[in-house]
Amino acid sequence: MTVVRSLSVMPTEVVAAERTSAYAGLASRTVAFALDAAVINLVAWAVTAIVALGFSLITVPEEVRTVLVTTGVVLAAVWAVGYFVFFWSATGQTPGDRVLGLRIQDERMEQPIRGRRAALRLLALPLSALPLCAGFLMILVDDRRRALHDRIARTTVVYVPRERPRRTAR
Amino acid sequence: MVVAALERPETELMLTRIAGSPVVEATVIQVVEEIIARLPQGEALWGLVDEVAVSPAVTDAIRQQGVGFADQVAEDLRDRSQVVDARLERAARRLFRRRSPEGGGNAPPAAAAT
Repeated sequence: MTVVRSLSVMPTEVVAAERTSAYAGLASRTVAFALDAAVINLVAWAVTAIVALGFSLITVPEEVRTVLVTTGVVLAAVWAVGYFVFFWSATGQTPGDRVLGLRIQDERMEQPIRGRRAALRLLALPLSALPLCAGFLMILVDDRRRALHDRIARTTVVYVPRERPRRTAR
Repeated sequence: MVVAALERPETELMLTRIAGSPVVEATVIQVVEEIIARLPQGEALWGLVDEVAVSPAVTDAIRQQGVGFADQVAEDLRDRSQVVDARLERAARRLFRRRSPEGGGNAPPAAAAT
């Protein structure tokens, strides 16, 4: 109970007063991305551990091992790409975005983007990171808090309105 | 007659002495210890514990508490990160001497309610 009480130290008025935009900022987006990265890595590590344990029981030739490792790396990349493309194009929210209350949407239609646009956004993501993360820092000065990959994919990231808990009739 | 006898001060004094006597105290302690020792061995108790543990009321309460706590953590994280978002942006705008977007920027209608 003490923990629960100590968590709610940020009154809604303070958040409302501090927040200046409906578009999601750098900190929220970074935390959401970190959560997604954690989910992706945890799943990848768990699967790798299970597969490695399975193969540790049998003797595998060196050539086959190389092929398996390569396949594993490719599958891990597909998993990471598929994760983002699927969630961005399905609901506009990855699990990390959901926790942070963010949504990726088309800058004009304000709807979740299609698969191709999601893939383009993901491909453009490294471009934001390459020049000393300058593409990400654009969020801080852009009126709609867009990073470089948002501009390329014509997307925006917004805060999702908070859902009020429903009261059940007793 | 019994009531009248119990209400007499002598009877009350006698009962108090009996209750406070070392023999009664030792007997009570022995009985309680025996019950405590026997309780875990009784099948009925574990049946009752199992019944309570799987009862919908208890499982619902546990689930709601877990979900409620996770929601609260997420909500707090959300609030804090939004405050940090605004502060970072203000700092960056001060650094680059840019004006803040008026009225919270070009807020999309769907998100303007947030």
